[in-house]
Amino acid sequence: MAETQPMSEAMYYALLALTEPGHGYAVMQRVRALSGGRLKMGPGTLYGLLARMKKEGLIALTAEGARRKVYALTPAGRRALLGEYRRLKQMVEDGAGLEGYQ
Amino acid sequence: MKRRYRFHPGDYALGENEQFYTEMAARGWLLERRGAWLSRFRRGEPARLRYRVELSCPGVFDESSELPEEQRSLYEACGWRFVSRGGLVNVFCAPEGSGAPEFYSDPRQQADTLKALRRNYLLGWLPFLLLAALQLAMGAALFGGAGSALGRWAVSLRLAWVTETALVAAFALFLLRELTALLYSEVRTGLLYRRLRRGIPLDHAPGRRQRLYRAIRGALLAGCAAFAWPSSGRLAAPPLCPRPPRGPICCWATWATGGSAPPCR
Repeated sequence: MAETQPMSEAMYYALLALTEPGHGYAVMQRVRALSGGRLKMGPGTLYGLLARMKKEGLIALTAEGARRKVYALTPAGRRALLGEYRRLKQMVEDGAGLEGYQ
Repeated sequence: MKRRYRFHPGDYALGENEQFYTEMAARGWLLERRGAWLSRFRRGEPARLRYRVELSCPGVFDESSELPEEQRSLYEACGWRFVSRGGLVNVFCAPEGSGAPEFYSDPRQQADTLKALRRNYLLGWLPFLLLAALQLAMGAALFGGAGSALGRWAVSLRLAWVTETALVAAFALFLLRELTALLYSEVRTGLLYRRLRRGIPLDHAPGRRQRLYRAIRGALLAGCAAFAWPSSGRLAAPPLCPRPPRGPICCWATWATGGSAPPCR
């Protein structure tokens, strides 16, 4: 079950955004909001990411609106997201001695 | 409403296509439809518009080359207007300064969109190879072996060159043009793919690097037409006794093949 390769930053934020089900454009806006304006994904990048995550089983379609498809996390997606969050948190904690390092 | 047709850059030249449509719009010609070889423009007010190309990437057995509906609606939600599709090339448009985001923040992902285009170019060789293989197989069956088949083909080619110089020249130029175009497209696509994979973003205004290539292709086409034109009349009403074309080419050919051709009149 362990993720052998670390997740990209864009994927992490996309999964984070999808803790609240939404369609493509909403994900884009949430990612920008969550990252404090730091991560601005192009629509092509986001679409490719969504397609890949769907293929890997991390997200799934919940309901199809008129033209927009609404995505939500799957249990596997939730596990991947939490796993990545804990990994990053651990990495930061391990480097705690850097505060005040010149 | 005034309309204009123009040849557009090849499908592989993403940046050149974007620049082409942007410059036409600045001169008041707005893209209406992109076809296989030509783009149709309609007259409008000169406008500062940004045009961007997105390549479709259908699977091998997919019938349609259209962008997935979801992808298109996502782009439109971001402020890009879909204009037209020609083959795998989808053209979007947004006013300059509207803040519509570029499609790809990561060039490596854009590299993946070239897959279907590369596959198409590779498959483009198939008709030529199949035809050549078929000809060789037929010749080998008829004349007992590939070697003698090739020998007979060489002899008949020399004869054809003398008797129907212009036609053979026209055909040869046409074939050369098609093959060089295919090869050039493949090379350019491969180079673009490697640049994108290395993380270099697409240049949306690359300048006019294609001039030389298009001049060569135009010259080949002109030469092809020039040779085919005199032959077309004779093909329509073949004479009872084939007469070689007059002129220096015929005489040179006669000399080159050791005087085995009928004399010029």
